Amino acid sequence: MAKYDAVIVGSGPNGLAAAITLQQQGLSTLLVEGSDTIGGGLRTKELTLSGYKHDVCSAIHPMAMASPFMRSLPLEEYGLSFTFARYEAAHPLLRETGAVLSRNLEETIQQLGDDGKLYRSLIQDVVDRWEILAEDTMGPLRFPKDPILLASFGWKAVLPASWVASRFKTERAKALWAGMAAHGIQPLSNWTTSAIGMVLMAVGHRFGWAIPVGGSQEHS
Amino acid sequence: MVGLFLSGDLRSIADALATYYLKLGGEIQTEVWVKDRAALPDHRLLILDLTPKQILSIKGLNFTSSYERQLRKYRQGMGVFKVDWALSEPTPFTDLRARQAATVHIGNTFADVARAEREAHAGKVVDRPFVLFAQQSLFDRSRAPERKHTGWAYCHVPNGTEYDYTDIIENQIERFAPGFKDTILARHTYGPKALEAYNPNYIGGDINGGIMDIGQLYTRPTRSLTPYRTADSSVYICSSATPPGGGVHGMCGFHAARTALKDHFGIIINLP
Repeated sequence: MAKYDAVIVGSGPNGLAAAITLQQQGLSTLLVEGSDTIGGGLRTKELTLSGYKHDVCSAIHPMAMASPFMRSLPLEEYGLSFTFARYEAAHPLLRETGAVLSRNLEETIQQLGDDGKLYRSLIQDVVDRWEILAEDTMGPLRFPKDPILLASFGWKAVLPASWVASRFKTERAKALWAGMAAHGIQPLSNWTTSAIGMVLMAVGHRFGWAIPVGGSQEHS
Repeated sequence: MVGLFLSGDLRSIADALATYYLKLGGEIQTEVWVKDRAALPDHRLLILDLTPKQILSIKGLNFTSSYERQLRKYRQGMGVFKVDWALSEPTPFTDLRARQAATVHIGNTFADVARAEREAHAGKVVDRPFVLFAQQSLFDRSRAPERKHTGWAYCHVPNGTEYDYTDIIENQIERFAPGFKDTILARHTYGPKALEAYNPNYIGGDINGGIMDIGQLYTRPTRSLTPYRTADSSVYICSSATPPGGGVHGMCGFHAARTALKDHFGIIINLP
């Protein structure tokens, strides 16, 4: 018999997630990491001066609290706590008032004036029914749990962000939308770039964009 | 023992996940670079939180040549150029609401952001890039000494570029926060190559583990409905090179493990 049922290579959030999922089912597992600390893109280091703690890669975590997997774990019992800013994100403009993404959907809609209605039509369903949509979108393709909901999300999500932007009238809404969609790290004229924008905004309204608190308590 | 390899004195998401995993009975070994499967302790399944390029370099995986060919065709996206700053004061954004936001999207209008992303994707050096800026220390005082602050930013750049974007990024922030440059006490930069050296999953600085365009959004890294499986039935991929791609959510890992549990142990699991 093998010493381990599974060896997981790499200790970023996905390696840890795989290891936890297998271990939860009673398998014997070993997680190996090439570096001297675990974490992959989740490490924090004093990169500049002593006493200044910098997130080496990932900093703000919009998807952590929105992830069905992360939500299923008792991470607060293991030292994790999140804090939030007044606004999840701001998008300043040089020649006019910019826009913000606030946890409060109504506040976000209100600042967009004439574009508030279009914003609501893009985001409201995703906010209200995130759990079901997450199951249908945050994994492999398979028959959806709610095909109608997925279809109504999907036909907008698949569009290039630039198409959706052209439907907004105000620069403020267009710019806010651009900044969100640009998290997809590709030209905004690409298909599916609306998906990332819609999801980032919706999870911001639903859960907030979480900042993990860097306390210094000892593990017990 | 836990303290040996956790990320320092910060109680990050990684530390919480690792502590929970250890409590469940899991084991962790650091400083193990896997070059050959045979060098690992005896095991039944191998689950790889790695990108296709690294997977192809591991010896002892029983892949078919057609599967290897598919992995070789996997496409990376743009890289990032990242800068961290120690700052003497909060970043003086002209827009007062930007001073109260954890993340600030710096790139001005839709047209400007769209142009920046298009040109960077086309391999050009963009003078006024879309800069993702975060100011965690305003909301979490444990990040910096008293009255001092941190800044964190990156912009998207051509994959693997060696161009130094430090001035470009700082100039772009300065347009929206005049006086920012005077607050800089120290900086640290990571270009695409340095990021890859730090974390080999960031090939050419690509932090999403491969471009997440329509051709690779759900069919990553290969054209399969269950791309966690590989041509070797005992090997699975769980990195962000599988659906649903980049981001800190752990869903790639969960789905890879779920598939392996079903395939080899007859265990069917679902999230609550």
